[in-house]
Amino acid sequence: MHFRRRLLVGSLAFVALALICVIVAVAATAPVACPAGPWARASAALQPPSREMLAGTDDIGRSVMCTTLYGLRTSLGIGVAAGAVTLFLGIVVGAVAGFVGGWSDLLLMRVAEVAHTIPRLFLAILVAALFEPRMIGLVLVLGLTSWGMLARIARAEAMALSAREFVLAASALGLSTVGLLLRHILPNLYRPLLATAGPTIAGAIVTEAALSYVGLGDPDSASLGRLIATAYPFMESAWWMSATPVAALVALTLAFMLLAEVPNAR
Amino acid sequence: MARPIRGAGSSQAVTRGTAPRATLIALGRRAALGLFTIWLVATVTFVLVMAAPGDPAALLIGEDGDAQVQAHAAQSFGTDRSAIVQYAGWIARLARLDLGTSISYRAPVSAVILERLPATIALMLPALLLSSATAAILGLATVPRGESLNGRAAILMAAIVSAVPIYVLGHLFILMFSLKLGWFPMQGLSDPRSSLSGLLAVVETMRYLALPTATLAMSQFVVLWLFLRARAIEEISSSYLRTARAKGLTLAQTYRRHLWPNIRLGFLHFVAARMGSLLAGAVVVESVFGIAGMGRLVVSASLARDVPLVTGIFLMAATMVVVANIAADALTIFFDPRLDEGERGAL
Amino acid sequence: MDRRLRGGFLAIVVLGAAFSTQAEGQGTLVAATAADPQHFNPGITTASHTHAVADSLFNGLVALGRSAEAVPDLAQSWTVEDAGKVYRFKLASGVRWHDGQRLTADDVVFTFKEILLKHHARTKASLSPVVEDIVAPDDATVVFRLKRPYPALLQQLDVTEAPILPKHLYAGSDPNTNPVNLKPVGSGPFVLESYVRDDRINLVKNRDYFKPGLPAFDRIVFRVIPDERTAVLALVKGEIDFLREISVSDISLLRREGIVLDRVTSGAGGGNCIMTLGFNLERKPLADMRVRRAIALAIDRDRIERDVIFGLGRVADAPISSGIGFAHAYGLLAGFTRNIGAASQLLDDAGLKVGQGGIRFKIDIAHFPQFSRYSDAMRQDLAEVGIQLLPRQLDRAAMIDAVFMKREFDTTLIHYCNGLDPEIGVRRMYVSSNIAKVPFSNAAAYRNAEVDRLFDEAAAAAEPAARGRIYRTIQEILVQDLPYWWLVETDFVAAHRSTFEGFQSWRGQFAEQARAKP
Repeated sequence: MHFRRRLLVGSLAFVALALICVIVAVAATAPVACPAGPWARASAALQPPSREMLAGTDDIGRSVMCTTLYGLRTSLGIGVAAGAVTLFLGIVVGAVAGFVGGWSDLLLMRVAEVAHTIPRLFLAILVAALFEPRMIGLVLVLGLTSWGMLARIARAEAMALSAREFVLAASALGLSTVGLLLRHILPNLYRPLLATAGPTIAGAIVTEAALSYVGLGDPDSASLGRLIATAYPFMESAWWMSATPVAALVALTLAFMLLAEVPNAR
Repeated sequence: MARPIRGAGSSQAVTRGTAPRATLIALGRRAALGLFTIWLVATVTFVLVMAAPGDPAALLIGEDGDAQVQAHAAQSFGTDRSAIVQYAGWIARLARLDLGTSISYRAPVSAVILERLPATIALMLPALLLSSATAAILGLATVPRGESLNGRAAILMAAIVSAVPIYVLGHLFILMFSLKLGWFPMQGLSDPRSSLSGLLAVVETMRYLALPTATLAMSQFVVLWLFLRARAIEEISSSYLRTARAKGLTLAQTYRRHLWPNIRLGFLHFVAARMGSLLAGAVVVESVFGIAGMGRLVVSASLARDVPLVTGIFLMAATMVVVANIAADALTIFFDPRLDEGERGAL
Repeated sequence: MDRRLRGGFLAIVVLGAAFSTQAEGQGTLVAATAADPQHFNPGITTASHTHAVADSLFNGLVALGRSAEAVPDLAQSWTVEDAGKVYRFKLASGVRWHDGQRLTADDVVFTFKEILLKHHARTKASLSPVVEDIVAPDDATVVFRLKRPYPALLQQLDVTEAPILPKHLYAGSDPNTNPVNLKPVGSGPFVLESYVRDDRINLVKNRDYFKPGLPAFDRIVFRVIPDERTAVLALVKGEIDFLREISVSDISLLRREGIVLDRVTSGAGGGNCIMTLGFNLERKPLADMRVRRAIALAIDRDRIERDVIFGLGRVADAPISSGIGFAHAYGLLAGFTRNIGAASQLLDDAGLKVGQGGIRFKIDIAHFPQFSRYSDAMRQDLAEVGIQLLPRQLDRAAMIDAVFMKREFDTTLIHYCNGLDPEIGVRRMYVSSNIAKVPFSNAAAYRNAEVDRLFDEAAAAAEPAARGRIYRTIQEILVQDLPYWWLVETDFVAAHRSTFEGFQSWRGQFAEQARAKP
């Protein structure tokens, strides 16, 4: 009874996890399915989907399926990289602030608030104006602006923990408290972790798509955002060029957005 | 979704008796914190500009092309001095609301931004209201159905729609509602062939705003909806709700009288926190629908490497986010001073 | 709340629909442009976005027909004397500036001497070496005295190449910063009424226009629509009436919808364009001719013609456009079919061995964002010989800064327009005197005294046949030296709704003679 209920309630979460697994598996096959890389020309341009070219060809004659697969890898990489930066900063800063307390706590939380307040796309646009549009800039911008919420939660956990006896004892004995702290607060953080990771990764992917559309994306990268932007002029004449990467982007974003639902599976 | 955490270092809860004065103090503190935040953002911006290739003074003030003006600017800006002095000078200018001169427009950045701000606000405000209202209604309506197939399918479909890139969504809206059905115009904010005024002009602007606002609202509303739904699910098992149901109230009444008042403030804060995302959406929507607002301005400024203008708009956007958060805090305090927990801030 | 919302919504739709049909103005043309014009002085710039709007506010001495023949504009007649060394123009009478002042020959002389010959990239490059003096013996006569016969003069006197500006407003000022640039006073068929930056530009009919019966439109509204898709759909729906340039992918859609398409293969100043890859000859390894030749052999131009411009143009056959028949050296580039083996060999000879990851060296390519499909295609081609191409998308100002001001680039993609005579748009690319901080000058920094001399000789020769022979020699040298690599010649297609007629898409003043169909 309980088990079935859990599956039903957590069904959205299940969808999310399943999607992610499928996406990662598919993205991993890119080098196998398309050994020539994302830029290689395969056939005549603007061919509709056929048996040889499942998703047709784009305006330069590349297989849309191949470019999308590689794009999936790139976008996934961007999202995960940004997410990793966010998670790392959030947990570390929050734990330090909560445990150490005092001035550093105040300062770190103010920094967290600033990081959280900064409008991400605008910062990315500023960075593009100063440093020329590059993917590393975007990843850093996104990673460095999304950790505020997580830090707050990590801080609370750290504070609650630091008052407990075994930590005080360890500290008195001169043992490494940081590792202890992390080991104990991490299990409690899995919910906010997922709740944060999901939107952060989804946000990274979506922001990159927006940048590519307005012309500030990294022209050197083969991300889904760039693919959709270059397919945009052909939206009516070659729908498969847009539809395929959009479908991939939707699946990717959806998967990570629904990740936040996982904690709701009780 | 995690609740806002009550910080351990919070000040005393305010008693109702001294509400008005305490409210002012609380607001004052928020405003001060907000200013501090903006100052930190400005500092971050300065560090970025210093780190970028190129002469910071030229980047921040803008080369006027006029050697005399440039020399004067360099002197007052102090490019021959250390970074600290330059920084102090820049902050002082910001405090005077002097954002420098735009390279591509050859006009003061603040004037250029103010020219374009109304269009963006006209776009964002209705979108904000529309998306939050829809999310609130749907969020409460889908909670009891959260476990059924219909509820989950609806959420899935909505999430799919919101994951589609905003400009693709906008373009599809144009194709469907403007081209095929002809209900709304697809670009600009007014009809170039006629000049209406007064009430007619307002109605016309609303027609032109319909599709861009709908696109922007669509891109926001799912996240708001999911948040509200998650909060509602969390609250549902609480005892006070069970008591209300036990007392014989209908589901709707329970939600309206007991559930909603408890989650609406958290929702308000969440909406305010989404301000940055709303601004980002405005950037894309303005480009698709040909609306001359701040979003499109920052893009063309960035493409032109017009650093003073981009910096000015960035600071403006950050300020808008801070103001939105302060407004949310102000409303919170107004509704229930007990909830002023001091350390809440914008998170 | 739901019901009220719905009611309000319906009311807005209905009201709006009712009002929009009622308020449709007679004689209004709505055109779309992709970017803000920035200012309205066509004499100091060759930027197409500025000219797209500003050209309708001014006039040149002559106007050009579809086949580039010169017809009267400000000059109602002219004579050529002294074996082509003197041109005497008689100005039309009764021409007034938009502020009421009379337009005289003094304005013409002033414009050329103080503005065009100092600030207009193409005109300055080609006319400066040729013109000895320009004088106004009386109010209605302008005389050009040339150092030598120059048959291409008339083609360079239209509103795009040589717009006439008012002396009484520009004298004694720096034309680049003069505030009149934003409140222009011209002589043209339309007057600037209002300018909302990056949003719209309103032009109204010049009721005192010196050509009787023109223009037909009461107003032109330019809407700035950066999104090309939206502009195309707006054209189909009727929210806009005229689109100066559409991309190839939209041709079939627009045809289906009954939109009139006008394919323009040559045009004043901005016509006969070749998409050109410019090498920064001051940089290694591009200074080595073998490297440039290898790049030329590695790029698949047939594929660019087929897949990037979709056949709307042709592979460049010679450095000078085929639209300039007498000067075009047919077949000169025929030997450059794609040859990966030869390219690799050349690179090996140049000492650039294949290194890690199969890459010999990296170079960047600076270009406008709308040309990214070219660089995408080339990047793939060059990867096959081990050259990694790094694209840098820059908008106009950033591009000018990087390529012409600071010369910080390896290669660049420029849509060089040859114009109607090599003197207009070709010379500026190759003469060493035009290596300057002027936009769209000699980007490669190519220096060849022989070529400089030959250009002067060709300009001096009177007969097209003789000139053609000299230009052929020049092109042969250019193909040897390869300061640039000429990719494809491009045509452009303008589009307008079928309820209008009379557009002259090849001219800057595209709407002077256009009107709504009766």
